Amino acid sequence: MRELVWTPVTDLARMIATKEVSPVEVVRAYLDRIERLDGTLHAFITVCADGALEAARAAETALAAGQPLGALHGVPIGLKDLVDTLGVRTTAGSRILADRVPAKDATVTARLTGAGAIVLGKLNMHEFAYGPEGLNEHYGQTRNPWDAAVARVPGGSSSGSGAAVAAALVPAALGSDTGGSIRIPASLCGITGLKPTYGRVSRAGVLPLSWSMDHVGPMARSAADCALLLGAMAGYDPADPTTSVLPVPDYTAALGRDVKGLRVGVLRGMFADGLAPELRDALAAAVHELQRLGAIVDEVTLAHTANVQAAAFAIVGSEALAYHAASMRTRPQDYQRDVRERLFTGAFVSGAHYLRAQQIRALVRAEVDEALARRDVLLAPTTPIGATPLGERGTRVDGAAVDVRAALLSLTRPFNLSGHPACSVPCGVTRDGFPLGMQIVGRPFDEITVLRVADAWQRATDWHTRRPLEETA
Amino acid sequence: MMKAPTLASLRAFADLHGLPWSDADLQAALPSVARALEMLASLEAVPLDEDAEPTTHFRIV
Repeated sequence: MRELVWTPVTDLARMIATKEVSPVEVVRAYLDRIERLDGTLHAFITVCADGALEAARAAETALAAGQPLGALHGVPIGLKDLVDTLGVRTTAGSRILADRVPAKDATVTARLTGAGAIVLGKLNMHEFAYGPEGLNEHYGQTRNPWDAAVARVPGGSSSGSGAAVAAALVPAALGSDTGGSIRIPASLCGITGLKPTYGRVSRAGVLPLSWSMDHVGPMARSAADCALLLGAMAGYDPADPTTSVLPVPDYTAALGRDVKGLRVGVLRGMFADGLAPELRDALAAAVHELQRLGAIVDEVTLAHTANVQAAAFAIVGSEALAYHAASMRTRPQDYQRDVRERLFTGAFVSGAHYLRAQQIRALVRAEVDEALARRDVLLAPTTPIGATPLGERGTRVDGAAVDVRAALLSLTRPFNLSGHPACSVPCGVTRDGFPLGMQIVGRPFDEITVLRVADAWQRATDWHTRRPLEETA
Repeated sequence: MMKAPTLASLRAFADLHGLPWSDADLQAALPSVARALEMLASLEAVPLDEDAEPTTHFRIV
């Protein structure tokens, strides 16, 4: 039973479809594990035990009746608690929305459950998705499952999603990513997280942080599992005017292929500066491995990314404040302090600042497009540091003082501005044994190639199969 | 060149925006505001071709 919860989504779906294991048995295994571990991890805000068991029994009945099955039939998933769920409260990790119960599902919820997935519960997050550490004062602080002695940040804002997948409380989860909120917890928790192209996955029914920067995507233990989830939820949605009408390919076709002849650009400049030494070594080893697998590697520098932090602050700061303006006037004390301060700083952004930031955004996007015109993917670290102790605002890398929050966001934000797809995969560990990730960035709507490279990397290495310390003891 | 924020300037700013913050909260926010103003100053200093079209309607395809 213990191994069942570590079974990949791709295998679970097959085992359920062939009646090797029943959906009820699978759901019970995860609920038992949540019961045992979540009192410490605080990955969940709401556990939907009754609803999940009821859905599992229905899935079992459908199997017995020989009904057509979706790609995720009977597979449990977790949803970040800003993804709307009909009749199940959706709080965005906030006190302000503590009693909010949506009257309908988000498009992604409907699509995933339509493909047969079973929602196990709603996952913890940085309040209103506005922070990369994964801090939450209202629903218990999510802990990084890799932490053996000191409580460390799980990364955010999709902190519960990262921790729950890493600790096998769910086999897969949804996150949202405005500045790195899928990829940062994926990196710090040692799992795989895909931020799709802007417009690939509907945001309808997903509470916004920043409309023009928010992306919704899968988090799982492998690129193969992310491919299966992405295929079930991607595509045009009339309820989200930014979704693309481009057809959704079969992402599983990316799996099992080699990378011979693919051109990989390794990002230098700010993507290579200020990295933990172990990460530098891990990236060098990754480049060597990709070359051994047949990829053609060169280096590339993106000049405009130096301005990304300021531009992202102006855009996210003003869009987030626009959404929260009323509550900031009437209920400021109901926000946790770091989020309240961040929202306050958005009030200093003028319209001219906002548009200047959007000018920079156009330049960043053009520059990334140009780098990818002659390459299939770009490669960069996801975060320059591993998980730091909770409450620690600064750390040191190679003797230099580093602000944890700024460091966590520094390498992921460029691709929120540009909208390109980016997948974080585990690539090594820190000196203390905490996970490190690297991101594979692709052309717009070319998630197939991103997943192909990520999957080839994972078939050649075992970083993604490692389990948190308490599991290996 | 923007002036460094003070409790008094944040008090006035908060009042103008209708934000009912205590002095203690505003005092605590001073470092965050200072960092935000530095970032906005750096944004203003980026040499840009003013003909560069801002991404006001963001849709890749």
